[in-house]
Amino acid sequence: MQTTALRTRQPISQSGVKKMRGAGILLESLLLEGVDTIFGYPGGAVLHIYDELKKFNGRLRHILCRHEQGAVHMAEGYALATGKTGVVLATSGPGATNTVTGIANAFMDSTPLVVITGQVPRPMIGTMAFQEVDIAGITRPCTKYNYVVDDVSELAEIVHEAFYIASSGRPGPVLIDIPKDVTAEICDFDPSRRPSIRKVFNSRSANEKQISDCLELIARAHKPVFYIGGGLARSNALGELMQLVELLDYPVATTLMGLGAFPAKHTNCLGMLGMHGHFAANCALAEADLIIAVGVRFDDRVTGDVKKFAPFAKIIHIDIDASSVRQNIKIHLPLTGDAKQILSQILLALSQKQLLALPDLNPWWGKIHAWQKNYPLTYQQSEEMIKPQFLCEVLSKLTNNDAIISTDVGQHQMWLAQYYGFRRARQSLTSGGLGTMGFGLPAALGAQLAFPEKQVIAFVGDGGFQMTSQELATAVQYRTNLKVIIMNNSSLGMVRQWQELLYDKNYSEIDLAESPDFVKLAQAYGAKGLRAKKPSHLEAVLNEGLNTKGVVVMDIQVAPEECVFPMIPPGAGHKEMRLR
Amino acid sequence: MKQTISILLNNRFSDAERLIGLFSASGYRIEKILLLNEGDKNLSRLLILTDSENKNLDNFLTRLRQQVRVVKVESTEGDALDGRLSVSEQLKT
Repeated sequence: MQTTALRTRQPISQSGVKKMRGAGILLESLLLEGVDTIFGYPGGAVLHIYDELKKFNGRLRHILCRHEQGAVHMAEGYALATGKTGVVLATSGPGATNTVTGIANAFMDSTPLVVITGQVPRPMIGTMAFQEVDIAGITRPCTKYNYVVDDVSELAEIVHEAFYIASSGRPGPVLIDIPKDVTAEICDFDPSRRPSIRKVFNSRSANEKQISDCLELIARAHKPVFYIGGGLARSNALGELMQLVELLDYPVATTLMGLGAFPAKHTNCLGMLGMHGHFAANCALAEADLIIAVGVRFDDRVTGDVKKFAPFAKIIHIDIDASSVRQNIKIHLPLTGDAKQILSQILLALSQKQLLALPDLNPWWGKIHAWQKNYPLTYQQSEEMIKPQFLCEVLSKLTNNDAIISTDVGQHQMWLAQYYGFRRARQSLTSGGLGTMGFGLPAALGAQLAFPEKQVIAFVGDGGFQMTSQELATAVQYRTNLKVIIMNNSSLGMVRQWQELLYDKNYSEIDLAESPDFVKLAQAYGAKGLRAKKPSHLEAVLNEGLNTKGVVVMDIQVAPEECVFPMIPPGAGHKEMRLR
Repeated sequence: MKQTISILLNNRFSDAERLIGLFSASGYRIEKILLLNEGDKNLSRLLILTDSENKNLDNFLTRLRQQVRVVKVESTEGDALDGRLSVSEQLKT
């Protein structure tokens, strides 16, 4: 059995040219990139690689997943929790096509991945050979870049460049498709010689004029707000933001992907923005006269109707990706570059102009506090049924809001975002842009394999859980302590909510009442299964589950008819929030 | 508004297809297209005539510029491919 401990990379002692087959060059190249874990699934086209992998025992840990989609989500969870690039290995044909959902998910959420797929041998490409598919063609629109390796002598350079592309600029997935005969071919390999690649992502800083424009906007702002997202966390820029917040006393609203990038319990934090965001956060954006957007892309779930978005605001947009702004949002001051660098430039400029007369923000804060007081998150507590919001509150309390938690997409994701109170970046692992059911369980497992000692929880719905529940076998096989909490409302909750509110309660195909017994299912996989049905039992069940070693699945049966509020109906503006 | 977009790229295997795909993925219809070798084995110029009506062309050009292997992107109003496609007329005969 493989241990779950992370291994550090062993430096290759001998330098100089070695003759190796392509499969060996690939794995040596992965080691040179600092890879310690591969999430994969073998098959015909990657047999040479798996044959070679045996020789890397102790240096490269391979996690045998149960489905390639699970493998990619695990690599995403691993990457999101560690900040490193996740690595996937899959075979050709169906192995490769099964990776597509995960690749698209990573593309939307800017997660660095290198996905290696096997391909049929070069002479057979284009012949509809067994397990042949043009995976480079299929994944072209949802990768930052991809390769079909045509010549083994280019393999080392390609791997090096792939890791560079995946992790630099706005991170994302890169796919390397390697024909089987390339992995068998013998070629010279010199591990001491790093291939030279063209660096295309230059991190720019802001120029003097831009910074002085920025200060001018700050000097005139009476209703400012920071709008921060995943890019802030990726750039490790919390320190700079914190100093700015302390200096300027601006409120901070975060996106779903930015949860934890600024601590939820900080007095300046307004909570989450968007369709199911906090009332005060959405109102602050709607009424702001200055928005400083950092590491965000003005996603439609945040902006609502773009014509009604922040009508009074001047917008400063700081992002590493100059093309990340949606169409039709007017940005007054775009600052393209690394958030950490640009925020520190602003800080420096502010400290040099110490006596910049800043407008009094008390009236603005007065307004914000009134929103917070008059429209807090609320729900009706029940003696009979566990309210999902209550579940999130209890979970937050029991874990001291400090666990690494993944979710799928839907109601459970929104309630957790509203109630958990994330403390730090890389703590919330969620499927934001693509909204992928089935992401939660494998993503949490990837994070747990990276941090065996930390509390990692997959917080999923009963629908999403059943899309990738087979990865419980992986969690058990590698002796992890993964905890799975199923917020079980016996239906596809968010679809049910939309049908209730927007389709006149015409419920269509949302009933999951005939699901398996999740406690027995857990036991069948060799995990522990627990269940809670009553609010009075909830805390005891969660406590037992969270404090039991090994994999535990907690089936928490919640009130099925609860809706997530506030809600900005699709296509509406921030001021058209529904509270009930 | 007709636009001719000219992209200079290091054209390794399938790099031109990646860029062409970005047009339809971004809602730009390709009306004319020409891929030319620029002397160097791997350097190509991709010329595409499209319509940018109701579109944020600047944002799209920025996205094109950010693609791996893209060296330079330029855009001019109108159909700059008009004369260059006479070769197709020759092929017809």
